[in-house]
Amino acid sequence: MRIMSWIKAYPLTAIMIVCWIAGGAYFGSGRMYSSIDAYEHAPQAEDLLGSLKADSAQTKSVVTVDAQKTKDDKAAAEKAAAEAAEAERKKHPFSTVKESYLDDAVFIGDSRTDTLRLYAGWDNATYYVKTGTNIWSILDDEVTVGKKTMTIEKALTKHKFGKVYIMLGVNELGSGTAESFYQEFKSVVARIHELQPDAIIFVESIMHVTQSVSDSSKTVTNSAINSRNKLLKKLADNVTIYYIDENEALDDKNGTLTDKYTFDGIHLEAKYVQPWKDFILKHGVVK
Amino acid sequence: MLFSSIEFIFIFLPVFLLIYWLVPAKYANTVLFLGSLFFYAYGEHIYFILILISLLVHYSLTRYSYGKSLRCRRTCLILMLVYGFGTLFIFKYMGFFETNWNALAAYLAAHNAAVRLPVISLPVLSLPIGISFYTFQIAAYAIDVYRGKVDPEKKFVDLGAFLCMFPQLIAGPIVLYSDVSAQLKVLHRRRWHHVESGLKIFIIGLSLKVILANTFGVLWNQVQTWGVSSVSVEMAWLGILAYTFQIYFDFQGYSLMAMGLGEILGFRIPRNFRHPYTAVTVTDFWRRWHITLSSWFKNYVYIPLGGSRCSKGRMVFNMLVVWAFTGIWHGASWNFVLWGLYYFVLLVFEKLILYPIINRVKKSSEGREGISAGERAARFFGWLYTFCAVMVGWVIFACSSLGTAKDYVRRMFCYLYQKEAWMLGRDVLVMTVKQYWLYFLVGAVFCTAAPFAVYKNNKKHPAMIALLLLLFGVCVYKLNSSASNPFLYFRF
Repeated sequence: MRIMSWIKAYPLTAIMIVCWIAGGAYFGSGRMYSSIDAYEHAPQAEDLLGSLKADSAQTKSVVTVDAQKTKDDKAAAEKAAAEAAEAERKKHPFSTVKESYLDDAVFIGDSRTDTLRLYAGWDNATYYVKTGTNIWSILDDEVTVGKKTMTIEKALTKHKFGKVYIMLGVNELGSGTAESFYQEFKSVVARIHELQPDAIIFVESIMHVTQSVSDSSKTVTNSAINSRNKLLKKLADNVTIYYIDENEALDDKNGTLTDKYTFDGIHLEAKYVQPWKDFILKHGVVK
Repeated sequence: MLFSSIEFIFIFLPVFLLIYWLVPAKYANTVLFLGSLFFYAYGEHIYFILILISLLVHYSLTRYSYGKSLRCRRTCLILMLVYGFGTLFIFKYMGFFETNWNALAAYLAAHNAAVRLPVISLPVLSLPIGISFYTFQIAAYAIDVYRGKVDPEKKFVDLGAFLCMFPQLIAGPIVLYSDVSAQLKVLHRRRWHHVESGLKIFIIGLSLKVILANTFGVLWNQVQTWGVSSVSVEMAWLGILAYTFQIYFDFQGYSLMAMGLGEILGFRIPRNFRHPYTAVTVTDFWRRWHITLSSWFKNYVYIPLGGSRCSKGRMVFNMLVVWAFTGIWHGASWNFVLWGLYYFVLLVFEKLILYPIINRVKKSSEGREGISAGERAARFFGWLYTFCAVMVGWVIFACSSLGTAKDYVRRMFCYLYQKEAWMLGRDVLVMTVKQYWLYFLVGAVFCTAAPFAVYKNNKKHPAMIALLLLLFGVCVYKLNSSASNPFLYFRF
């Protein structure tokens, strides 16, 4: 038969034609389904209100505490000073601690906390990190504790920690709103407090990304991060839960992650984890 | 659209080939032209207008000036070149120009110089894909018409098919009009044996890109994510070796895919690589790497400037011009210029010092049979020197900031070795070697001519066909499941 001799002469072409028909049908339909799917479940809109508020909140309030008073008002002044000091302590409850402070600390987070785990050299601390995780799945993510694997929620029941550091937020930027993120974060923090009632919980702000990543992405932008950080700040009661903003140590003068600290704009390079380490050690809470 | 994507392999290509094969022979070029425009517009939504305008300008001016006076032809040529390179400058180099102009203006202002420059702010334009390639292609056509080497193409569609032919439009070899003009006129060029052999080459190119280049890309990306100041000396070498292999298999894979696709369509697209990493001198390397680009520069810049048929000083100047432009062609950034000038220095050294020595030695050993041990040793050391020089060159090419490049080279050569506070330990090195050793070995083998000779001798053997199908399956699997599929030469 002519077809048989044609196939014998051009075997690869014959097989490729079959592949094309099969592959075209399979991949073509797959692509069609995913584009229909994407059309129907359009991603949520960014928290525009939050970002507008973040943009307008550029002016910093200047607080001056005037403790100069005359001899007659010295007692009142001392009382006022004591009250002011108490207020200041509530605002700046932090002190510098040594690395041994982290002996009973656990760091919970995503791939950015993983850079801390890999490069900080803090072998005394514990790390419950899962790359790609988010606030909705964090408690159910599995980690290795000793020889066993268990969810983070279970791991927090097994061991008593003195400090819990948690940083999440980048992987959630593409879904939900700042408000839904905040509510979920609030319930996760409440659960952690339930499981570790004596631990101090440090809510780390979501680390910024570089200007170029922020400009080139629709969802991963510093304004979205800032609007969520504003809400996260509300979680702090400065008694058990503290909010620390490591962006202070890592940002450049434009409020974005310093370009030279990172290669991909999102994760810190090994050498530049140092500012973050110093920041954490400068923001310990000693009761 | 990338060649190494499911959309291209399973949707665009079969549909295009079906139409291309079904239409009567006289419409084949039209289908090719329109199909290629669609291919381009799929990835570059608005800027495909630019390529059409470029085609119109060159088509009309070459046809208008044909047979007219020298002055008319020269004016038309200048117009075409100004248009082509002007557009290239605006879309690719304006940002670079603006940054440097403003830096100079700031410097002059800060030093209270007599001359002041105004600070300029130019609109930011995105780079149309492939503009560097097609600008050079159509400029070569215009110059060839001016020189009388080719006659201007009478049919607009045929010129469009030449310029926009999708195998080489985006990143393919710089095809000259004379390479394809004969085939464009041949109506019965669609042949099954072309399809068979073209598909084989396409699959080889695809495998090199997806299986080898993308894997090395992951390792190089990892090294950069750690940061050059945190990797050990061995890791630095592994990293740049990964990049060396990545850029080669990436680009060679893509060029082979272009050649295969061209052959399926009935065209002979020229080779772009001839086993460059087996070169024994840097001059030899540049005769094997991105051949179409270096021959473009040789024919249209170096030789018109005088080439090597002039005084030594003039020749060095000509080489400087060629290499500065080769560098800047690769990207609008100072590290690319530095890369070009780095090769300029090496090539001048070889031309003025090394080759005269080699020629003298060769003359004195003429008449002796076979290759002496001395020559074998010389070839080995030549290869070692060239390969290291090329690797260092890639460091400059790959690191977008000169400071990072400098740090990287220092790390490679242990110069001013400083123990950093944190350094990747030996265990990471061992793990990396365990993970990638097979790829490095296969990569090294595929840098030589051996596997390709095996392919050539066994093209029709059923085992070869089975192997190619297996490779194709692996590539499709990888493309479908992974997201890491960068193409490095894509910002041109």
